[in-house]
Amino acid sequence: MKKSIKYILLLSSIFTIVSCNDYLQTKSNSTFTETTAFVNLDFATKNVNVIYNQFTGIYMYDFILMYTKCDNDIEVIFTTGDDGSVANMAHYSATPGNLYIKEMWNTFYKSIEMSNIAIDNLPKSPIWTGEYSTAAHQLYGEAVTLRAMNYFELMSLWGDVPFKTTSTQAGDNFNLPKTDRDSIYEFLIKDLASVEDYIPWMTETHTAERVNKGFVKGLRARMALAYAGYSLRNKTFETRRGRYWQNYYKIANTECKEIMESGKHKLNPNFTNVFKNLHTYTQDLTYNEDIFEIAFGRLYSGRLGYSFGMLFSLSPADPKYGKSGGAVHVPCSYFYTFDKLDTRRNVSAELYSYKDPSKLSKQTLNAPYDMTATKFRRNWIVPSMGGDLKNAVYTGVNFPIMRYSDILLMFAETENEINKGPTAAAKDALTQVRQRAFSASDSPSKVTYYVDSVSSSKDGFFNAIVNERGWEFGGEMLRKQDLVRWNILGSKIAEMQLASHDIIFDVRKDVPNYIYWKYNDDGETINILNPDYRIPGTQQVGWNAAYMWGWAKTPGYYSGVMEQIAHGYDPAKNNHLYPIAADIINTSNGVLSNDQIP
Amino acid sequence: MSKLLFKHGDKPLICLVFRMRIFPILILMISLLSFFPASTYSQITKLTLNMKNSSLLSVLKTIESKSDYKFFFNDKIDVKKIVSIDVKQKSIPEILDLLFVNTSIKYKILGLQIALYDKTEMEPVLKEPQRKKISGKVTDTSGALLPGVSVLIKSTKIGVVTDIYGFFSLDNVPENAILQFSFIGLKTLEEKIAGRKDINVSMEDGSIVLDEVVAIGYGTARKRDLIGSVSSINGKSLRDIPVSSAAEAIVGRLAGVQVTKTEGSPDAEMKIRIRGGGSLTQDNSPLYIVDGFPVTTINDIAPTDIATIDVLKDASSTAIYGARGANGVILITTKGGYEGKAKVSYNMYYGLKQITKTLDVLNPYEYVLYQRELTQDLYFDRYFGAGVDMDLYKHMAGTNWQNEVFGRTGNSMYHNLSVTGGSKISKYNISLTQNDDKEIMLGNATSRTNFSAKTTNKINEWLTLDLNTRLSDANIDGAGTSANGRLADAIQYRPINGLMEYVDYSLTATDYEAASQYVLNPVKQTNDDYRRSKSLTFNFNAAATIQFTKDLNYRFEYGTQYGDITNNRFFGINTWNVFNYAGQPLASIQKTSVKSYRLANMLNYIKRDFFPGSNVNVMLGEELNSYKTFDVISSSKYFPKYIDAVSALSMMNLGTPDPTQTADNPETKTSSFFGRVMYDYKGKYLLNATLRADGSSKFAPGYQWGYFPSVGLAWRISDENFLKTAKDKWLSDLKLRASFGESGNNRISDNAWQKVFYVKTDTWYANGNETSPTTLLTPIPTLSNPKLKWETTITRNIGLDYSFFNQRLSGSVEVYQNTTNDLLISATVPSSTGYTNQWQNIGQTSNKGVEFVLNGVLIEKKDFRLSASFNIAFNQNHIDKLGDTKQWEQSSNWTGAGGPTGDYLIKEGGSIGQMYGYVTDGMYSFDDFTYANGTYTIKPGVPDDHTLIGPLTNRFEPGMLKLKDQNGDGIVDTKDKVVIGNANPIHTGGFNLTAQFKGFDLSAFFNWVYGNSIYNANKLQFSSELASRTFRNILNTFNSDNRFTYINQETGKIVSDPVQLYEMNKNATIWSADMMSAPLHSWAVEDGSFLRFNNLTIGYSLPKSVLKALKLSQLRFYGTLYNIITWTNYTGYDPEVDTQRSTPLTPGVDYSAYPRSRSFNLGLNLEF
Repeated sequence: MKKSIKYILLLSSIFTIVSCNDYLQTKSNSTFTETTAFVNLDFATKNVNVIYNQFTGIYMYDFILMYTKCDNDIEVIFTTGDDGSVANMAHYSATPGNLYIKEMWNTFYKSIEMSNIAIDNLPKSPIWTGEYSTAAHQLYGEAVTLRAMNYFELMSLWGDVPFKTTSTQAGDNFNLPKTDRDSIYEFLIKDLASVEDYIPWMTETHTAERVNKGFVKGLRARMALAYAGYSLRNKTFETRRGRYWQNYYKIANTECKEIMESGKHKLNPNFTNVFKNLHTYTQDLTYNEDIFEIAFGRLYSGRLGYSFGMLFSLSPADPKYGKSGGAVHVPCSYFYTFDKLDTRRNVSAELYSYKDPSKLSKQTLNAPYDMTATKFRRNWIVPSMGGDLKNAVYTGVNFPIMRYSDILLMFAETENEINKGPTAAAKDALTQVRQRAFSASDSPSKVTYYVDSVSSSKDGFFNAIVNERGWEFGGEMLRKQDLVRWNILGSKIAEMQLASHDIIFDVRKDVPNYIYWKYNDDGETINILNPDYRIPGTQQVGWNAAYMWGWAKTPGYYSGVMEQIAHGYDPAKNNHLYPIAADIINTSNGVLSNDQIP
Repeated sequence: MSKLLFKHGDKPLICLVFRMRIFPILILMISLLSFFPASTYSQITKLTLNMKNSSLLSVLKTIESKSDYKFFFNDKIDVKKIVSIDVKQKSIPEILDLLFVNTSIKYKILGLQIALYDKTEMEPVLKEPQRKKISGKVTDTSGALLPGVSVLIKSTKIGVVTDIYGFFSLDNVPENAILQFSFIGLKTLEEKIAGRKDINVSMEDGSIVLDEVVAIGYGTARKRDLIGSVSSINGKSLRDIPVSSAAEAIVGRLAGVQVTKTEGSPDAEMKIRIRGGGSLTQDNSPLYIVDGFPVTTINDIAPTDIATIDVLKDASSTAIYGARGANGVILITTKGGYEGKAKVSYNMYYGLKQITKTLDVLNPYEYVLYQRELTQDLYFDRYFGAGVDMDLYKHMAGTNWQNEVFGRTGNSMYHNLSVTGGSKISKYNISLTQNDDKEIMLGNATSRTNFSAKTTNKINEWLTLDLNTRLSDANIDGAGTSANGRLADAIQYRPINGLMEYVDYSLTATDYEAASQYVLNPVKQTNDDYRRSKSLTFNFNAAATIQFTKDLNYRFEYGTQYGDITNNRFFGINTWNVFNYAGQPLASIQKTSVKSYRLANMLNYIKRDFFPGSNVNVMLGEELNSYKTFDVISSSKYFPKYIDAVSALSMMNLGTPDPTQTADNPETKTSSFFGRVMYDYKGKYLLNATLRADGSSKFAPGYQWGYFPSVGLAWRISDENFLKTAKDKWLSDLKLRASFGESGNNRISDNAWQKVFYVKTDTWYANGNETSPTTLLTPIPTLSNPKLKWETTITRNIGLDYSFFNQRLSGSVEVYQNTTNDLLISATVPSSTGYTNQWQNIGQTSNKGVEFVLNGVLIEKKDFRLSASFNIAFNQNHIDKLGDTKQWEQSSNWTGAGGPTGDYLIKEGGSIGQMYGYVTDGMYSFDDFTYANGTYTIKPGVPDDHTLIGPLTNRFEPGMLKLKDQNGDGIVDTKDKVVIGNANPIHTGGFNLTAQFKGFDLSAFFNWVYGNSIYNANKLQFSSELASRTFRNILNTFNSDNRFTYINQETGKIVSDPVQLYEMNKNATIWSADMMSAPLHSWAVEDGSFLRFNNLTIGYSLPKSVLKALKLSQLRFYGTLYNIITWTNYTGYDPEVDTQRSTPLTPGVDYSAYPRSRSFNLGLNLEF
C-alpha cells in the first residue's frame, strides 16, 4: 500500500511537468499588443494622442526646437555659447557633437514611427468599417497630417532625410539612406490631399488643439510654398527651388482659397486678443483665427512666458507675475520697422519690461539689449503664474502653429507669383490683414492707400508680403522658414544688422535717443512720452529720462551681442541646414553623411 | 499531499492550487504543527522484527531505522555475532532483553540513546573502590554539547557514552588515567585526568577541510569530491565578525568574488561580480539562491541565520542552473535544526559610527573672493556688498555643511535570538533578529526585523518534510545622497550669508539660492526630503523527500515568496522639487507587490560501490519558476505649505492628486529540465556531467529554449601510489580539476521580443484642458526583436587543490577563461527607425584570470592557535566582438547640463569600464597668447580648447585649463578624446588572521583592490561652475593661493595686463575654476588602489567552569572595529565606490556617494 502511494505521487508529479506546456506564455494586463491597441476607438485615439504629445516635449516646441527657428531679422538669440549650447543652434554654428541636434532628430523619427504605427494599423482594425468608421478615418487623417508636419520640420532643419512611410518591423533594413526632399514633399503633399476629406472643419471639432480640415489645407499650402521656394541642396550645395515649383504655387493657392471660401476661419478683430486668449487658457471659437495650436499643460509643459516672451525679474523672481528669462530677443531695428500706428507693434515688441529686480512688479524702461518678442508675457497669464508659482517654468500657454492671417498672406503671395503680379483677390487678402492692424480712422491711409501703393509691380507686392509677414508673425517663429524659401536670409540679416547698428550708434536721427517716461496712476505701468521721435535736450519736467540708444557707450555689447547674431551663417554658402549628429552618422554604417553642410 | 495532486479535469489540480493564496498558509500551519515533542514517540514505540541468522549489527541497525533510538557501544561488543529474533509489537526493552539473553551484554537506555556494554569488562571497575569518580561534559568547538561520545579510560576496556545532554560520569578512575574521547567525524581526543574531578572537553572536527560539505546546485557534495570551482564561507567565520548583511560577509574573503559596497549608506547596493562579469548592457550580478529558492536580493536575510555561503564560479557547477547561471551562483543555506537538546543562543551588538573623511572646501573669505572674481559687480555687490572691505570676511567662521549633514554619531543595535534543537523525527531552528541603525546623515535610519523557522520532519520511514518560513520587515528612512545628488548641497552651499546677515535684511535665503541655481540649505533640505521605504517579505518553502529504496529518492520542492514594498516620498517646502508647484509640498506613494513561486521535482540515485570502488550519483529534475510584480503609484501635489510628511502621506487627497498609475507586469517564467551524473572511482578519479534545458518567457515562441551542458573531471593525485611516500610525510591532499561548460543569461526586459504599448500621461493637455493630461498609449521605446535568444557563457576552468603538513597548509590555484557569446545587447539602431535601441544577440566578451587561495594554521598549541588565510584574484576583461557597431561612447550621466558626455568608450578590442576623455595638460601659459588692447588672442599653433571648457566670463586667457591636442589639428575637440582610465582592477584580494589564546580570540581582516581607476566626478563638479551656476562653493584645492586668479585682491578689479597678471600668479599651481562645462579629463581620473584594514575583532569567551556555574554553554564578549585604516592615494571620500549603475558600462564613478563611516561595535554571543 505504502509503495503504491509513493508511485502515485511520483506519477502525478511527472504529469504536472508534462501538462503545463503553455507555461511560458505570459502576458501583462497593463500593456497592449499591436492588435489590441487599435481594437476600439478609445484605444486608437490614445495611440494618436501620443503623436501630438511628442510636440510638447523639451526637444520640440516646449524648448529646444524654438532655438532652431532663430536667428533671422526678427527673432534672435543674444547669448553666445559654444559648442553644445542651444545658442549655437540659433547662430548657425552647431556642430555634429551637439546633443540637442541628436535628440531633436530622434524625437521627430519617434513621432513618425508612432504615426506610421497608427497609419498601418487603423485600416486593419475592426473600427475601420461600420459604426466608428468616420472617427477611425479622422484618426487616420490626423496621423497622416502629423507625420507630414514632422517630416516638414525635419527637412527644414536637415534637408534631405531618410524617409519611411511604414512602421519599423524587426527584420527591416534599419539603415535608410537619405531621400531627396523634392520626392518627400511631393509624396506628403499628395498624402495630405488624400486624407483631407476624413477630417472635419474646426467648426465641428471645436478645438485648435487637434488637427482640423483647415490645418490640413493650410499645412499643405505651407509645405507647397516651402517646396516651391529655395533651400540649400545636399551634395551640390546649390540653393534652388523644388523641381516642379510652379505647380506647387498653384496647390498652395487653391488650398488657401478653399479655406477662405469656406468661411470657417476669420480674423479676430482685436490683434492683442489673439495672444491674450492663449494666456487665459481659452480658445477663440468665435473667429477660429488660430487654426492649430500646440496644447501645453499648465505647470507641466510649454515655456511661453518663461523662456520665451517679455522679461520679468529672475533673481529674485517677480513676486506678482513670476520670473521670465525670455531667450528670444528682437533687435531694436524690428521695433522701428513698424508703422507707429500699427497696433501689432506693441504686442510684438515693447520698450519696457519687468526685468529690474529693484523695481519688482513694475514696468521699467528696457536696457537697449533687453527687447524680446513679447507676444508672450507672464503678466497676461490668468490665473496668475506669479505669487507662489513665481518660479514655475511650465506656463502651459499654447503655441500657435498656424493663424488665419497666414492663410490670407500665403494666398496673396501665391496670387502674385502665379499671375506675375497682384490680383484684386491678392490685394483684398493683404487688405484684410492690414485692416485689422490699424484703427478704422487710420484705414484710408494705412490700408487702402498702402495696399494700392505696393501693388504696382510683382516685386513691389512681393516685398510688401515679406514686410507684412514680418509685422504679422514676429515672435511666432515663422520668419526663418520664410526667409529661407525666399532665399533672402543673408540679405535680411545683414539689413537688420545695419539698421540696428545705425540706431545703436546714433546714426539714425528719426529714433529717440532720450526717452521720457513716468508711472501711470497705478504705479505699475509706464507712460512713454516719445517712443517714436526725438525731443531735444536731456530733461522734461515731470518725466524721467532714459538714454535709450547709443550702445557704443557700453563697449562690447554691439560686438558681443549684435554681431554674434547668426555669426556662423555664411551668405555665400547659405548654410541654413544643420549637421546630423555624430552619433547618428556613426551608427549608420556609412549610409548617412553630412553632405548638406557646405 | 496526495489529495492535492489529484487529477481534476484536463489540468492537474496542483497547477490550480499553487495559484491560490491559501497554500502558503497551509505550509505555515504544517510547519507549526511539526514541533511536537519527541518524548511521546519513544514511549509508545512498538516494533515488529523478524530476522533470522542476521548479525547483531544488522539487527541493531534495523531497530535504529524503525525507531528513534541510537545505539552506542565499544569494540568489546561482538556485533558480528549471528542472532535470530522474531517479535511482534514489542517495546524496545522487551526486544533487547530477548536479544541479549544469555550474553554478557548489558544495556542502558538514556532518553533516545541506548548504550551497550559488556558486564565482564565493567564489573572489575566496580571492584576497585580506591579510585575516584569523575564527571564532565563534551562539546564541539562551537560549544554545542555532544551526546553519544564514547569515553574510554585509555589502555582499559572501561568506558561510557555521554548522555543525551553530553554529560558523562565514570566511577573508579585511577588518578593518573588518560581519557579517550571518540566520536564519528570528530578527532579522537585524549585528556589526562591529573587528579581532577571535572573533565570538560571540546572535540574538533575530524578533518578540518576535506570532509566539509558544500552546497552545489540541487544537492551537496563533500568538498574533497568537488570538481567545479566553489568558494565557501561557513557559519563560524560569519559568527566571529558581526556584519549587517550577507553580502558584507563575503567582502574580500573569496577569491574571484569582488564585492563593492557602492557607497557608504547602510542600504547601499552591494555590487557582487564573480570573475568579472561578461554581459555588456545587463545586470552582471550572480544568481542568488537561498535554500534552493532563487531570490532577487540577499539583503533580507539576517546574517546570523546563515549557515553557509557557497559561491559557484565555473560552468561545471553553475551549468546545472543553466538560466542565469552565467554570472556565477551564490548559494546561501540557512541554519537548520539538529538532533539533540534544545539550544538557545542570543547574539547582540551595539555600535557607534562616524564619518571618516570630509572634503575641504573654500573658507568664507576665499569663497567671497572667488565669487567676486566670477561675478564682478553684476551680482556680487547685491549679495556681498559694493566696495566691501574683504577683510571683514576673514573673521567669519562659516558653517561646515558636511559636518552639519553627515557629522552626527550614528549607532547600530543588533539582537538575534534563536532556538534550535530536535529529535530524530523533527529538527528545528527558530530565529528572530532585530537590527536598528541610526546613520551619520541627518534623518537617515534603517531598521530590520527578520524571523525564520526551519524544520525537518521525518513523517515515517520513507517520507521527510522540510519546511522553512522566513519573514523580513525592513524600514529605511531618509533619502540618502546618490539618487538625488544631495551631496552637492553639503559641499556647494555658501558657508556664510553675506549681506543678508549683517546689513540688508530685505535679502532672503531664497534670493541667494535662486542666484546659485538652487543649491539649498543642506540641513533644511535633508530634513524636508522625506523618504520611508518599507519592505515586507514572506518566504515559504516546503520540500518532501520520498525514499523509494536505499539508493533512490524523490524530492518535491515548492517555495513561494510574497513581497510588499512601499516607497513613501515627501518633498517639503525647503526642497527644490517644489519650485514648479507653487512652493507647495509634494508626496508620492509607490507600492510594489511581488509574488513568485518555484516548483521542482527531483529524482536522486546514489549508489556507493556500484562496481567495486565506483560510486555514482545521478540526479534528474524539473523546475518551474515564476516571478511577478504589480505596481501602484499614487502622487499628489500642492499640499498646504506647512504640512508634515506623515500627515501628507496619510491624507493624499489633501493635495491635488495625480492619476493613479498601475502596472501589472508580466510574469517572468522559466521552465527547466536538468540532470547530473557524478561518478568517482575510489575518490581518485572523479567525473561530473550536467545538462540543463531552460525555457524562458522572455523570448518569442521558438526561441525560448536554451541547452546548457557541462563536464568536469578531477584527479586526486595524492592518492596515487607514486606519491605514497610524500603523502606519508608532508602531503595531505592534491587534486587536479578541469571543467568546461555553458550557462545562460536572459536578464533582459520582459517584452523585448514583442511590440507592446503602455498607458502614459504626459505633457500634452488637449481639448482645452489645462490641468489634467490627456491619456496616451505609447509604444515601448525599444524596438522589439522576436529573434532574441539566450546569451551563453562558456566557462573553462582548471584548478589545483592542495594541502600539506597534515592540512596545516592548504589552498588552491585556479585558471579560467570565460567567453560570453550572443551577448544580449541593447544595441543602438539608426534612429530613423523611430527607436534608438533594440535588444540583439551580438558580440562576444571574455574574462580570463587566475585565483590563488592559501590557508594556513601557523601555530597550533594547546592554548594558542594562529591561522591565516589569503586570497588574490587577477581578472582581465576583453570585448572580443561588438557586432556591426564596433564601438560607441557611453555617458555616465552623473550630471545634467555642463557635464561630460560620452565619458566611457565601449570598443571592440577594449574592455568594459574604459574612461574616455581628454588628457590634462596643466594650464595655458602667457606664451600661449598674444596680448593687445586688453585682449588675449591665442597664438596660431597653440591648441584651443575653449569650446570644451566654456569660460563663464568669456575670458579665455592664460591660466585656463589646458587639454592635450591628440591629433595635432590645433583645436581640442571631441576628436582628441583618448582612453584615460580603466575601472577594472588588476587584482583584488584579502587576508585574514585569526588567533586564539585561551579564552581570547582575535580576528583581523584586510582587503585590497589594485590597479583600477576611479572617475572622481565630485572633483569636476566641485571645481567649476557647471552651466554657469555661480555662488556655489568649491574645493579648497582651488583657493586663491593655488589657483590662477584674475582678480586683484586689494582692488577687486579684474586684471588683464600680462605683467601684473604674471606677478599675481607666479605661484599658481592649478588652473582657474572659471568654466561652465566640465569635460572628463585625466586630472579627475585617479588611481583607485587601496588596502583597507577592514575590521578587527577581539573576543573573550568565559571558561567552561564559569559557564557551568552560570548554566550556560557559551558566553563570549567581543569588540569590533570596522573600516579602521584605508591606505590609498585616492583624494575623494572613499575608493570603494560606484554610483552610476544604471548600466554596467559605466563602473567606477564617484558622484555624490554617501560618505562612508568608521564604526565600533561591542557585542556578545550567549548560548545555553
